Amino acid sequence: MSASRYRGIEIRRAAFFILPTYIIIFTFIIIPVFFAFYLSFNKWNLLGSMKFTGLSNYKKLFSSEEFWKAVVNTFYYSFITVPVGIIISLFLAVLLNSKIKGIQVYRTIYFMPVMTSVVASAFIWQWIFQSQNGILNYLFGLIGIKPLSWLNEPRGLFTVIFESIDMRLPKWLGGPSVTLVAISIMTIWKNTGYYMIIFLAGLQTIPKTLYEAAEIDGAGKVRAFFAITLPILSPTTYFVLIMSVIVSFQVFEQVAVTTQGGPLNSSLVLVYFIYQKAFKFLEVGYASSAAFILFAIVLVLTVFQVKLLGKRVHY
Amino acid sequence: MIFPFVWGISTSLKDMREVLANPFSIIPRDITLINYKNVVKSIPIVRFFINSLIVSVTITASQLFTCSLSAYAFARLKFPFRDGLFYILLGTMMIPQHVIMIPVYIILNFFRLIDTYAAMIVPFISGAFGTFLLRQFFLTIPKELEEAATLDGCGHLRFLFRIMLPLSRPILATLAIFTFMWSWNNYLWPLIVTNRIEIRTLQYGLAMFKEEGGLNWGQLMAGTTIATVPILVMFLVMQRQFIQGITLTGLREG
Repeated sequence: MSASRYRGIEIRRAAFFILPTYIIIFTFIIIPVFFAFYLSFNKWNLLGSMKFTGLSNYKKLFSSEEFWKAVVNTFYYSFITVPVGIIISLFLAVLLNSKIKGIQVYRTIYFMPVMTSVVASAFIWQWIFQSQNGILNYLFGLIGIKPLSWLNEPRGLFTVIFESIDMRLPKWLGGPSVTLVAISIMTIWKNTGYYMIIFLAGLQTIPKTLYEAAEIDGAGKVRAFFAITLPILSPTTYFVLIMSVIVSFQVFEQVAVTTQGGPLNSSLVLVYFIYQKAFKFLEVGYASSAAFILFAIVLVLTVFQVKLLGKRVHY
Repeated sequence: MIFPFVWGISTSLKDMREVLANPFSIIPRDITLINYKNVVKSIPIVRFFINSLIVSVTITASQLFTCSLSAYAFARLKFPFRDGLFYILLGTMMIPQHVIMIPVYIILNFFRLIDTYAAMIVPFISGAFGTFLLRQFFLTIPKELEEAATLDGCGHLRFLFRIMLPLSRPILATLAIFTFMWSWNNYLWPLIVTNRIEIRTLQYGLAMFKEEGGLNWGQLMAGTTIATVPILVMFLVMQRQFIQGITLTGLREG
């Protein structure tokens, strides 16, 4: 490609136009990525001199019980929030789509949590989850369920449920801690409206005649949902699935505001682990290696979903 | 869905005795603004509010400006490596924030910007997403318009500001709303790069006071309401652009 294809004045103009954006992108994204990668092979506390230590940060990570706890918790969190979130938002979208009257009002109501900051929603939920004066335990009390310390309960959800009927579960069957479940509930509440809007947009492209034809053929509402809605909606569902998996692995603020990973690391998630190592203990090399592991996990999961599901999606 | 909001606001309007009273009442028996008064008195919430406004407005305004420029270059100008540069830009959208937060902190520290407004603003004054969004829209504006303008002796800069941007109002509104919402609600970044009370934003400021046990539940709910109302009002006013923005792009705040 020869330079003569371009007009000099246009090149200069273009350079001037894209310069601000590229200065920012290079300084605050591209250079940092490489820097972070380099850091992950070094030991550094931000103050002294950097020391190249090869793979030792990664080795330390894999032998750290705390790190594995964070990995398991993050997977638990993803396993809870992604499917439950998708089912609820799809259900709401179908419900809203069938009654166009008042759709605006409902849409607004369901979307409000999306607009609210994580900090604000975490405060509200912490108040709801309060063990002493919280309304949730009060309501539980009315139907005879013992109060739970929602955000301060390191025991597994299943352990707690089975204990209430006097059964003991082995520890590995305990499931995610009650605290992690509480944090997941908060997140599902906050994100559902967002995915609902995306589903709603998908639903509105489905021609009404299909449902009319199904009705003539004697198919019920449920049958029509599985035979028409779900297949046609599959690209949307696929998109929402990939997005919400990525988002779920980056959970941080909910944990930072409510539990700081506790009690007993039962709600410790990967980004909080990274934050803690980097900015509380100043182990920035170690934290960077954890960040790259997380990056790799998300990348693998995304590629896996694309390969596995991409072909099956009905376009 | 709406219950947590109702419950939060209801709590903020109760006096201390009623907040902790059993059984619970959704509508407070005596509606009082005492919590709002106390929260304004006991923490610099007005200052936090102004700080949030400074940070969010600056980021939003500069994003609109810088992204318009670069989007225009990608949509309308011919220059070497244009496609390559554009792919690099798209690639940066896939990099998660937590991977780069440590080096960005170190870079800001190197420039001695930690604990300043600049640390909260500068990394976000332009972005790949805004550029991409605007470029896609600019491409839909007919080229003939431009040819007519060039004939009239109108330069690129004037053409962009006089003709392109006024035509792109809906997409600019979408970008503005999402950028504003993202910066207003952001907690992680101010938490990492600031320390001084005077420059804390609302989200960070409230979180700190709660952690230090400086507020009771009624006051905390009052503070939360104050922090949430601006965004909700903005949403109610510009709902259409919001929904459009999401359905067009599937975009999501970090």
